Amino acid sequence: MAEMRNEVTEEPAGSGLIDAQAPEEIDSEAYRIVDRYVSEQPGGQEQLIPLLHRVQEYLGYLPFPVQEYVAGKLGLSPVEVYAVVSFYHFFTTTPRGRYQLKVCMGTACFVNNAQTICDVLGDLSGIELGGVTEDRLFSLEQVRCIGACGLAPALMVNDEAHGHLTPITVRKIFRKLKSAARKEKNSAGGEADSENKH
Amino acid sequence: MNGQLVTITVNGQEVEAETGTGLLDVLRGLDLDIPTLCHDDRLTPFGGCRLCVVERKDGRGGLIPACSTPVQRGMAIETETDEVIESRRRNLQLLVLNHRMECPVCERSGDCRFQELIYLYGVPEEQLLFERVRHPRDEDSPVIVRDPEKCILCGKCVRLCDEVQGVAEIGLVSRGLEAVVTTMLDRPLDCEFCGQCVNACPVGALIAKPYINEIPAWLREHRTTVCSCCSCGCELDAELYEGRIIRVTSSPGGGANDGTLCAKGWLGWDILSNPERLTRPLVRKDGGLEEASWAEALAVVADAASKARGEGRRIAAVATPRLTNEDALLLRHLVEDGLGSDWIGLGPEAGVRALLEGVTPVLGGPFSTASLQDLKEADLVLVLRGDPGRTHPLAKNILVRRHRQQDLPFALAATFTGGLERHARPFLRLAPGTEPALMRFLGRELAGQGVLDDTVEGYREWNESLESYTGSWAAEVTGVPEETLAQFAQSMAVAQKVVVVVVTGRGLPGDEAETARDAASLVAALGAKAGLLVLGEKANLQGCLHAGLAHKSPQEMLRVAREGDLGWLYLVGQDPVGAWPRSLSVRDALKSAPFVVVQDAFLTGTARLADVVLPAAILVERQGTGIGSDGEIRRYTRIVEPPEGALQDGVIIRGLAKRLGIELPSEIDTTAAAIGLTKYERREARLAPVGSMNPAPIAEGFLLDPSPQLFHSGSTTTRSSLLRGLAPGITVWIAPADAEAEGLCNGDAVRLVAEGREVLLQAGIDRRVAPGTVVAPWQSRSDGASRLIGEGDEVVTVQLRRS
Repeated sequence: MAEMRNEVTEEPAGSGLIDAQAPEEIDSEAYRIVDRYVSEQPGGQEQLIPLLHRVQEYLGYLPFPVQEYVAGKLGLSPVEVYAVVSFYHFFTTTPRGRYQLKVCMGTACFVNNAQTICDVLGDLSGIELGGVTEDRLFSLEQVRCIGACGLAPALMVNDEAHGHLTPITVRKIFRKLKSAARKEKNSAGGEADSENKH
Repeated sequence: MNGQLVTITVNGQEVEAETGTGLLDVLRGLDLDIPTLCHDDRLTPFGGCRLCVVERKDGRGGLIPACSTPVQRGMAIETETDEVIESRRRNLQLLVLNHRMECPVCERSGDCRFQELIYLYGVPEEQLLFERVRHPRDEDSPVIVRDPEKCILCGKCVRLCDEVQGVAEIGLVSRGLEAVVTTMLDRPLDCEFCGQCVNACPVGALIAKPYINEIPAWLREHRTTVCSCCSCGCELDAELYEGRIIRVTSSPGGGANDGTLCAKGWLGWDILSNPERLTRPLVRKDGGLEEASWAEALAVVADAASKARGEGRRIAAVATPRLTNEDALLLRHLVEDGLGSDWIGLGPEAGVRALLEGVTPVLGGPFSTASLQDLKEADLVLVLRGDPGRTHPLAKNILVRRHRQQDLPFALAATFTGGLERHARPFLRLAPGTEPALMRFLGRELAGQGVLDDTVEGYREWNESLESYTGSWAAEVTGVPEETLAQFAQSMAVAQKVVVVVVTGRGLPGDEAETARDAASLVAALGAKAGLLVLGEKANLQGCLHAGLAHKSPQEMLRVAREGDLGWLYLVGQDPVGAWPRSLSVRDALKSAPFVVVQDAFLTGTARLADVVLPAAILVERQGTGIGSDGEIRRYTRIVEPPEGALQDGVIIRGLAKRLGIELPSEIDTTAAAIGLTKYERREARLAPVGSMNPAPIAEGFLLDPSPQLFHSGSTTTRSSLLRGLAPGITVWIAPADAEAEGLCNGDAVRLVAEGREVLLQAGIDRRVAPGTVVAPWQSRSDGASRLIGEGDEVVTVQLRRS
């Protein structure tokens, strides 16, 4: 009888959902974040937006299977969640990179050749605007004025601003990020290996 | 401070209105024509289309939307100023910009609110310069076409689907010009196909495929009648052309259904023109059934009746609970008064059993003591046995509105559900057939708290018999945590008005009579604050019971038939071979009866065995009255003539009586008083000790949910090819987690194995299926998973094997 109850299921059901759009594996920690949030926070459907924030904070985007999982947890229909996600510009359903490169296109940056910065980043990463690299390390987008006009042309990497950019400094920043990511990956891989040994 | 009577000024005249009520309601109450596109009285105010703007002249405001503005003290409103008109015209213009104008070929031309308003207000000719946003038409669903380029984003469909239907299959996705009404990931519609969205659409953005035709709106004849597919008795607005139904809708504010329908009532009308309809009486000659004239057929039937009487053998009739009150009373007159036999009965329908064997011993008659209206008002509602969304869509709509619009909870205690559990607070998923356990636990718990009426006859014995039904026992039997049960008992103890609903229908596990008896006992013990509502399945079950048709049980009938005592058996709309439980060995019994008359619309399995078959009119081809499961009288109006040669049951009964020389009353009195008192008198409730309860252990495996009735219930409605198409019988639906555990993917062939029998079905993975359950829609007895299910109400567990 135990499996018939509609209480919190142990196993995230999301990965088995029909029409799972994204062919890529979704980090199962995302489902656990949802489970934890729902069990810890009182209340019901009004928790939707904060919960979506929490998930996007972790995954960088809101894959559809996760949206359906969230819907199930909050007693909403999937399209109700999708409607909210599609309404707010902040939420995104396309994966973003570990490093989100946001080139400022505000007036000051624009007249200071922001387009060149954009082009250089495109060449370096091999992706177009709005895209993400295959290894999910970088995503590239243009944003409106970030309020750093004195630093024009400027670039945000996640929450960090870089200013007075030239193609050369842009290359430096890009290489730095790449090597940081490599180091991170190596140490994470080492941990995983040591875990496997147990 | 709502609810105060204040004076407001409308167009210079003083009007009294209550504060807090919608300004729109007040204005419309004054017969002022306030245009709206997004407003629906059944929904919470939206304020999207801005056509209902009026001007406020008392110093505040300016233009305000009447639909979402409550009445306030001292308001002064003008509804027809130049500014108001101009604003409406501008808003219409903005809507027109993104609306594909193809009125000359649009399905809704002439019946389009938007078109009317454009005509009325006139839209300025100059257009803003931008391109319409392109969206593809969705024609993937079997019955609904969605055309987003005509959509004006009033959101009525989205809100009805959510607030009234409780499904939320569609949503308003994206924003601004890109906004579109669509499903999750633009998948094809996979919903209940109730038609609420289509019927509310003010334009032609949602169209029902079966109702697409070239007949312009102004050539259609409009008729109103009542649906008799199930006992909800919903009002239908039918559009006819040359005597045929070409579209069915329903109007808000009309009947009990307030404009809502279900797939059956909305779409199932192709049944009427099914080519298999019987149009000539059939008489058995030389072993085969041959067409005959009405005169000949009735003569054969009458002669056989006289012969049986002459031989001193029993005359018997079994009727369907779909007969109108008039026809039911005529049948009783014919058999009881005319032929002198009290062998008259209804079939073994679950609703009949629940009311006769369950409710009658306790409450004194086969009545519900609560109505559908009470479902709206009671502060505690407990729905037992099943999801009314599958069997009684109107009751489900009321419950969803209760939850979504009034924020009043209702409890659902059932094993198999169809989506209503999402709205239930609490939802108690019971182990199959354990509803009586819940009732007895509640009885014991509430008695312990001293909130029951101990003056009811038999209370002491009943109470003593509940001794062993403790919380821990109930928790173990039902599978619901003891704490949840206790909390629920507590909420029932403090509730001021309680309604317990017993759902009946095919495929619900457990004994409906036992559940109804235990529920009736609890309700009786709760006293005046509680009511019981038994939802029977066939249209006029209540009326047929009142008419006294349920005199003998089907078991008794078949027993005397087998014993050879039955000389003449008249089956009115009943198909025992096709629809009664196998355990009754119907076929043998019918073969032992020397003369069997079947009156039906189709050549059913039973009709094939009959000596005479009489073609009958069905559903909206009939005239008369019925009683809905809410106890209210419904008036069935004939809006379509039956196929030539088929007659209404009552007409046939009169014809037969004439042949037999029996005088039937020329007028049948079906006023409420006359119907209500024909057979049963209400009396005081009487409690009796509960019987023992030993739930059978459930075998390992997945519970097989035969998911009946949302689209068709397995008798008349299975004859609708349209409805059959909505419930794919070749698919078994599996919960995502179970599918993963069993290694099954969408579309895999899977064998369902139960007790040595097995069927091969296609797997479908659906998040709406509860883990541990598989859903296989019941078709006819010989199809798909139905072959694993004996009678439809026993619990079947299956193993899944990947094929």
